Amino acid sequence: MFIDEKVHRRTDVSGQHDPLVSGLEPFDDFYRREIRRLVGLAYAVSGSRLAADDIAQEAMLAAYRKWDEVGRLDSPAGWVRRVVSNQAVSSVRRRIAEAKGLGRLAARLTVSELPEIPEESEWIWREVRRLPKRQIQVIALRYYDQLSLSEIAEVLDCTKETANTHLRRARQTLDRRLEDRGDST
Amino acid sequence: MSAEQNLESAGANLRAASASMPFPQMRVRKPIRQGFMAFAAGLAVALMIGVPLYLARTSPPDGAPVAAPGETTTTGSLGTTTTSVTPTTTTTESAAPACGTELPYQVTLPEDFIGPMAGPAPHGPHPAEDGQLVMHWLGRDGSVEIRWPANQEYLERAEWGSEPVWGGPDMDFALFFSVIPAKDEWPAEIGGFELLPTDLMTGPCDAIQVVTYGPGYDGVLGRRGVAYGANGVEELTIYPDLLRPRDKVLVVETLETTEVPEVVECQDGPGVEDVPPNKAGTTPDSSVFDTPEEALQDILGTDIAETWPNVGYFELVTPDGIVTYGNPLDDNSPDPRPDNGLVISVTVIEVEGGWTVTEWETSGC
Repeated sequence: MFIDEKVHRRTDVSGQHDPLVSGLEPFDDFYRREIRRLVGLAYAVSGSRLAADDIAQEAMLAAYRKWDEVGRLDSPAGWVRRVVSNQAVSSVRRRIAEAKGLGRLAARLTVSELPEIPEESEWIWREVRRLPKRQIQVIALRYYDQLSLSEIAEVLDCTKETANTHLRRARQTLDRRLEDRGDST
Repeated sequence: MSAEQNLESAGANLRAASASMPFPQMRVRKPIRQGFMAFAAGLAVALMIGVPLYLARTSPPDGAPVAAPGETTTTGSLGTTTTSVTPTTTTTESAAPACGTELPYQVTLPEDFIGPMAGPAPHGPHPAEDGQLVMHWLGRDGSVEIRWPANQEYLERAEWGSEPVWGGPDMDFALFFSVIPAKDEWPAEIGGFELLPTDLMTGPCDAIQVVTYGPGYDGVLGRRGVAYGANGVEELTIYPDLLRPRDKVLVVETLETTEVPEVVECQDGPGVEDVPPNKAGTTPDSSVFDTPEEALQDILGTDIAETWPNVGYFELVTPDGIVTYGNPLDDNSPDPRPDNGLVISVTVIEVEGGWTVTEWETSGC
């Protein structure tokens, strides 16, 4: 199941899912709070400003269409993060999202793009995207989204130990590349 | 600074950028999912009042053009033809389309495909089922068929609400895909379909079946069985590089070379400022195999190679005995050559007891 047992459903004391009872957050509020961060996460993982907006929007649309279910999870934000991190790491998905973004640009429709960030940070994110997919996701969730290892494990549907292993290996690789870069400059 | 310090800084900068970006308005699209139960009820009423008889008289025969192709554009990078699909008829003799008279997608196929035409593909064995919208496109060596909803047989095996194998939770429609069971069994139904239910699926109308038939496409799908991308709910694209002719094999040719061509970077284009960099990795824990080709086959079965093609590699052998398997950039040309650049390279070396993969690199897109 995409929504698995680890992401427990939120229930009220009577076990019912009545929005009035369980306090289902209005989707609009959720969207306003999360969308910018989602775009940033999609960019961190995908490396494409065009695709990032689209991937985040698709994830939100998915959440919207089943908000009655997603909104009752312990962490709806974790759910959309999982969608975004999985989609953004897919090269096929990125290619499609970029094509759609270009289409919107051509049609002069609005595409919200992230502002530029300092080149040194861009370089680090480029190096992150050269890592294996799982490591990219873990790094983005840890250093961009500031999630704990437990939260990362929940989003990526893996154990905390596995998430930590990916994190450690990614940092080791990046340390080596930083050394190489220092040697060559 | 250590990687950790750099990452903290890079993360903070990206957070600041995302917090200051213009607020992205939600692009809500017209809902296209139609409640299957409502349609089923309507269908039952239609059956009762004899509508099918009327429809049967007014439907064109199988194979007749569904509608004049709409605006046609060619996208150079993909080499595909985009056709607005506006079928208005059902191909069954007993029921109106249960899910709709028009596909919810704009369908994109390689440019040498002709269609859409109403009814099942001539190479396929199954007649249309009641309530199914069925159309097909003819290619040089076979056909592509789309059914909405999917065949009942498949629907019964669908695990509604399960995690998608291919596709994503952002897709409103599940997609089926299949591979031909054996090269010499043609015409043959493509068996071993890949079912792509998404967690958003609520019923049969959320599932579209896409099947290719014909001797030219049995290599299409290979290990992973995916032959198309889905642009959310708007487009269905069947990429030409995934419709591979049957003579494509894992290793196309062995060449001796002094220098292995580079893995090219993704190409930018108008409006694309951010070209994803190449991806690379090492596989220090690779198993050892009797032949280099077996080592390649092994990595193709891993998550690393999730989106890699499983055919069409050139075996490039350098004087030092190192073998590189390269998937050429011009893979869609009639005579692909690695000299024009690679999109994937897999390095295999001889170690004690056999051959093992040591590293790989792919274009970033």
